[in-house]
Amino acid sequence: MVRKVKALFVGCAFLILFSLFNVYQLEQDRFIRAQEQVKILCDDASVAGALFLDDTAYSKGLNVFDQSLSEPVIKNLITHNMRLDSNLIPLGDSFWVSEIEYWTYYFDDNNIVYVYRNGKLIKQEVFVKGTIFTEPLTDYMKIIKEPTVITTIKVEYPSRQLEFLNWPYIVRSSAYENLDRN
Amino acid sequence: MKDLIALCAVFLLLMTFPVQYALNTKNHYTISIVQKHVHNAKELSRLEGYFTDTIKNNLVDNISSDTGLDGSEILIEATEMSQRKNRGSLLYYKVRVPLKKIIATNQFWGISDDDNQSVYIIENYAVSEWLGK
Repeated sequence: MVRKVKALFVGCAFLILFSLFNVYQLEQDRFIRAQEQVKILCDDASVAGALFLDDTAYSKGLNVFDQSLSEPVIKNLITHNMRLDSNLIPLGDSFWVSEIEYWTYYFDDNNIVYVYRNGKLIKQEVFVKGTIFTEPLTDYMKIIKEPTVITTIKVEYPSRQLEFLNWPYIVRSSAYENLDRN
Repeated sequence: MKDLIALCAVFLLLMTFPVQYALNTKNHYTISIVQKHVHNAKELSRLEGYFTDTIKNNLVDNISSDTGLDGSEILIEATEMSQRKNRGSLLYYKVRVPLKKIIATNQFWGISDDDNQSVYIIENYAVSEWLGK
């Protein structure tokens, strides 16, 4: 009798263990895909940031980004892809659960870095080409040699079924460098 | 003999988990492949301002050859030539790919084949780089 009860306990333990493992595997796969989606969105946003150049500066041989055109496009892209309203709060059909934040850094031939948070200019300061820029949230490092746009997105990850595995935020950065064709 | 029968039953029950693990891995791989090909197609369409027939056909062919799915089962809804977008406007694309098996031993748990399938959907936007006419 004792042997049978022991076997039953061991069987139940295996069932619980495997069930937990399956849930973990499915959630981990979903988490990896969510990270990839945020990374791809950062890529697209940094490209969008570098899409518009200031015509006057360009006529003088300088690559200067026209942020007044780029920022609305980046916001439009992020809100559409993540299903957010204009205040960056998720809509009903969104996978995400809380307000997102994003930062854009513009480095161009003006030798000034412009920092935007959620589409609003928060800082501008002089930088020297050839120096290393470290993104404060992700510690992403890049030597800025050419006109570059860096985008960072921070978003809260929806809670998992296995709460002890919760990873509260996804933060991803991506840079687009406007290389000289010569 | 009694122990052997019990062992067979338990073995069948426990075998469902490793098989489910393999199926989860396969489905995740299929989704990753789809994401990769959709991403590549999106990058090409940005230059054109819309999803050309060539881009769409290549996308279907690539997914189909890498995942073994029938091309007719992959559905693409995207910005057409008549809606061609200029630089800075958003292109739309939606790709549906069937996942034909979600639970590995569905018959064992009493789940029919019809209930045991799903559709993976990628619905997103990208910024057009097309400079216009």
